[in-house]
Amino acid sequence: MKLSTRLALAALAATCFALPVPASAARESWRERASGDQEITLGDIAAEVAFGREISARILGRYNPYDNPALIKYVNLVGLALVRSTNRPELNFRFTVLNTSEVNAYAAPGGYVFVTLGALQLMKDESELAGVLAHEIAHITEMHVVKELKIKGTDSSITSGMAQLVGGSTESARAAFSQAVDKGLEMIFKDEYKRDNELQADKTAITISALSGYDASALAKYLDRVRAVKERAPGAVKVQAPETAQSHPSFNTRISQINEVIAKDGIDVTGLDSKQKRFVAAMKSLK
Amino acid sequence: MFTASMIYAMALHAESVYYVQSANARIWAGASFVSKVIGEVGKGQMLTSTGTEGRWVKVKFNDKEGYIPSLLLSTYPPLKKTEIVKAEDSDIRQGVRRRASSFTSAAAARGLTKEDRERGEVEEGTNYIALKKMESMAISDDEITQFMEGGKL
Repeated sequence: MKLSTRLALAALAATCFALPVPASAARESWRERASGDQEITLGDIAAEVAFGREISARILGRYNPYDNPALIKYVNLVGLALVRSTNRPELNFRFTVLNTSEVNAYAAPGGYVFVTLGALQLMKDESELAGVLAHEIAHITEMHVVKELKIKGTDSSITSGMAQLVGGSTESARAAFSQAVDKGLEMIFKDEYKRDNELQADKTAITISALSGYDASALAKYLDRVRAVKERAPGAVKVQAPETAQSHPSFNTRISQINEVIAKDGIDVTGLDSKQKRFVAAMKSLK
Repeated sequence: MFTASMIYAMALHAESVYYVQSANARIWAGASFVSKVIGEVGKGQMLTSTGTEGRWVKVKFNDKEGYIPSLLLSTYPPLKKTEIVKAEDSDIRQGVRRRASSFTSAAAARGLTKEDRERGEVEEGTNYIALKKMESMAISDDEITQFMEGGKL
């Protein structure tokens, strides 16, 4: 990205992403989460959800949702079981399947999680699905996009209300919000999460999976399979830039870290039921 | 439900106090999953911390000390989903003065204005209809519990 573009986005973030919210919400700015150092208000959360809705509408504009209520419900049940072992009880988490053969999963702020049909078809069991969903849930609980783009609520203009910016009562407000959403989508679609954020999401996902009773090593098994598929894909890059020069950690780095964390935290991954039968049964409902 | 003033008052002495955010949380004897589980607490349980060890928080529990993964804790009581809706509702009330109908205002508070709905239908790149369908999936706590029990989770 050009420096001028980065500066413009930084200015935009500083001036436009503070979404006006009620005064009652702003009084709670002391809030902090144990797993991070961020402060959070009710208004911040409302802004996060509104921002996430717009991102999600655009993800669903790019990929059609897969129309299979039974499968969608199954994915939601796995996701919501994981959510019980997280620190965002105030959010309504929603999960759906995107009708594309691409192998990927996405998270939008506010609790929206998407997994592609291609990714599901590459998975072997429910533990792998849980690992992928837990990774995306972690991006939301750790507020990676929200913090990167400085999406916050403030009480600087109570009467205007957050809906002014989100709903767009002025052209400039709409343009600013739209640019923020574009940047958020760029992060999500181009895997431009900060390297540290990506690795943190893996660590958190392992803990969520383990606390939920799933095999925490399943994410590494899935990533290893994705790596093999991507390496075989036509046009795959054979010679990559040094690891430190890449914004996104390599599959090897992620898999190594997952195995290290499992060993260090003493997570038992032996003899666990991977829920393969239940996963296979759910996948049989594919058209 | 906690009011803003109640939460604010509690914050004055909240430095080493944590609240469980997850549905429940086991407490381990050490900062590792391999250590013994010495107890379990429910959502909203207040715990006094005596320090941290990596990604674990050391807490007092039944005259003993134990550890909980930090991702399950916050320094404030867990919020209810309705409190977020309430924050958005305040925007509705502000919006009523400016907007023509309460229907439009309610939609605006969900990030969905009349313009959004129209854009969803006519503009390339967004799909609010699919988003609303995604949001309409209703699964009860009992269903989740049954699902977890069925999988022995």
